[in-house]
Amino acid sequence: MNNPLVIFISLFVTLAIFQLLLLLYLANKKIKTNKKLAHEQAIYAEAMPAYIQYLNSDPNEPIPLPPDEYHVAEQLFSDCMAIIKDEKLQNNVRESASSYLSSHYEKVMKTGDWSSRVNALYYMEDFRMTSLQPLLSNRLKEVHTNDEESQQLIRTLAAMGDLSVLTYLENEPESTESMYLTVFSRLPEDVVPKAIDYVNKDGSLKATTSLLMYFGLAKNLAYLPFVEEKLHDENSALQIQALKAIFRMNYISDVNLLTPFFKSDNWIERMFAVKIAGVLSLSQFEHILVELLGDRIWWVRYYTADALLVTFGENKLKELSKSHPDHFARDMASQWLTLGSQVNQNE
Amino acid sequence: MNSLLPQNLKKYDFLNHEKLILLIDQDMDFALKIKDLFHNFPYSILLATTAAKGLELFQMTNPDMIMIDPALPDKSGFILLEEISDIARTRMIPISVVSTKNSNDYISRSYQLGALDFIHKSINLETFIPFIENRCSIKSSLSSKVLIDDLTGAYTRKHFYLTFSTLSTQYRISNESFSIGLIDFDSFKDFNTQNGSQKGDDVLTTFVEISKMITEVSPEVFRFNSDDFVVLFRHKSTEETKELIEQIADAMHSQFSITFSAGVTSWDTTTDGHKELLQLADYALQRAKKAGGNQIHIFDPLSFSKPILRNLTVHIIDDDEIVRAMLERQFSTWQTDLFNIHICNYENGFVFTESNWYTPQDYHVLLLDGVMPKMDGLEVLHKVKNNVHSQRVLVTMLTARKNEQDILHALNSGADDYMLKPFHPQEVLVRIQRLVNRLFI
Repeated sequence: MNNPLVIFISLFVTLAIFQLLLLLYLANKKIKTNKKLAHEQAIYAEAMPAYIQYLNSDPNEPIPLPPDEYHVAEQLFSDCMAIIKDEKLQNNVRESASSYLSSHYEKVMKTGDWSSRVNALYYMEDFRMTSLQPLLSNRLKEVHTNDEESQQLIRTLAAMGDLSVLTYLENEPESTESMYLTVFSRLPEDVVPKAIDYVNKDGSLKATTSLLMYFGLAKNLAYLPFVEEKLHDENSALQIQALKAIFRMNYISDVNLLTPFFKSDNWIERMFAVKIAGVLSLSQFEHILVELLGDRIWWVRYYTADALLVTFGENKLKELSKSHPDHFARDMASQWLTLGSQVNQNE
Repeated sequence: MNSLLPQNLKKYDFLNHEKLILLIDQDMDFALKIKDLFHNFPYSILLATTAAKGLELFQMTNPDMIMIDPALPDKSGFILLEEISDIARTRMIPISVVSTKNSNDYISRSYQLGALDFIHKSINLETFIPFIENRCSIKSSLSSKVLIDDLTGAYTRKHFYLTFSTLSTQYRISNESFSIGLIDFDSFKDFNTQNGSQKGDDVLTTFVEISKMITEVSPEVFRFNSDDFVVLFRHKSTEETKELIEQIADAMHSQFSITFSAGVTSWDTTTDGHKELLQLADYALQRAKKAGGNQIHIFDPLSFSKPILRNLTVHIIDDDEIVRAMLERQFSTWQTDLFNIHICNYENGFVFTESNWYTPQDYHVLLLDGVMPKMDGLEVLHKVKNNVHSQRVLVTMLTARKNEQDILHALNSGADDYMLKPFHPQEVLVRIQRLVNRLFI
């Protein structure tokens, strides 16, 4: 009985049977997955043309999808949202999602595992399922860990226009500017004025700078009054962020707003004022620019030379490279003449 | 006679309401901003990213306004401005120079070379649309006042309307009649491409000279569009008019390799107005074109009871089936009295290039996705441009590739337009319709 050969053979047979069973299990699982996938693909292929037709027709008709095909519905609605920009069609897709998926997602948020919840949250953000907003707000209060679920909850609520996420971020000591930016960039356009009111009334420095940063990136002139108002703020960080936003927006309603910044003690403010003068070709600031070409800070001189070149042309810079009283200013003008001519080769 | 006409045939009216702005600029940021700005207005923005493409589109499309940035990759925009400013002035097309630079030498050079305006690119979007409207309306207003065409010496469309009004009033009383021939040169754009626009201008000028001299009746000649003319014969029947136009065709043929087609009809007291007369002549012209060109057809109420339509196929080439389904549905709503619309779908570029999609007598619109398996959109574009040399193929990229270099590459490779995904299905259709109206009609 203790023959090693017998032991070896028994062990071999046991292992072989185990492996065979494992193989059978995996093969069966794969077959089932493929079957499910094929079934879903078939339903998708069948439902898609009818759904496209449905999107463009009477929204009171029933959604042309078999019941409980949540994966197919998610895929179909999400594919539609990915390719269309038409607001009316997008709203129709959102309404479809709301009526077909709401109860399913409610169940997932209450009983589903972590990955199912996060997946559902991504789709909810895409479909802006506002009917689930109270459920998600409560969930955000329950989730304390700073993990993907809480982050996605914030993003989803922001996409639904729920400004309570701003209060949540204000109370979180670890919240960053990029988290605020994430929120502002997702807010529906009609909620942005409310966000401005909130920031003006209760907003922290972080929230205000992030909002200015967002307006600069969005380049939407509708937000210009808020940005220009912050040029008068006592806080220099806000003034700089407002200057940055104006530079990115490429527009200022009253050029006189820039005047104090050319003389500012803060070189970053001087630099941004000069950059704005350059990008907007503000020829009325010629004397100030000529003066700032001799600024003590290299960056200010650098962008002043650029602004002079763009606004007044090469001849002005040539003249300054010879006649400016400051040695560094003459150097910078000469340097930009070389740089500028390289840029202009094609013109 | 009205019963012969389709209810909503408004070819000439429709063209008059569309404004086309040719933007010659390689600055994609600015170009996309302008395109976005005008997408809700009745303006088409045609973009050329090189001076060569700009010149080609200027010659082909007769825009209502031109904007040129001096910074172009193949040639300075100032040189292009110098080249086209005389012709543009003749056609009363306003030209604006747009630039990120604002120096005095730039501005003065722009004005010296013939620009009407200099625009710094930090534009105020609220005032930009009224500015463009203003410039286009000046053009329309000036054009409508001119009675003699500068290039050919023919009368203008405006003169035709005045003549028609006078004759129809007089002849209604005296019970007389006149006939017109609507003339369109066959493949004139191809002729221009092969022989140069100067040779093309010679053809048009000679046509007018011959028309006035060859026949003893001295018809009145009116230039309608670049190569469209109307010849008017007083007191002549349609048969006589056909014979006289044949004489003109023979004389032209002895001098140039290019031919023309004509549609002939006559005015009598039952004719409603100039629109109806032109539409009937256009039916006959389309029949002559359909029969292979180089022919003169007389409008016959019996055989022309159904309009002759040209075939236009929209080829949707995209690997995403939902995009294909969405566009197919949208394009199936295209109602036009000018074309028979067909829609074809292809799941990738390879399937498209392997199909026998090209029929030279028909018009084709290609909607090309940028990223596809087997053969991507840019490769398809190169193949189409290398193998098919026709003005009847319009290529539009519809892609998620937003990179400036990709857009430039596609436009420099010959794409006529570039649209981004995600898209507005209705807007895609409208933009294609506008381009078709400008390039194919």
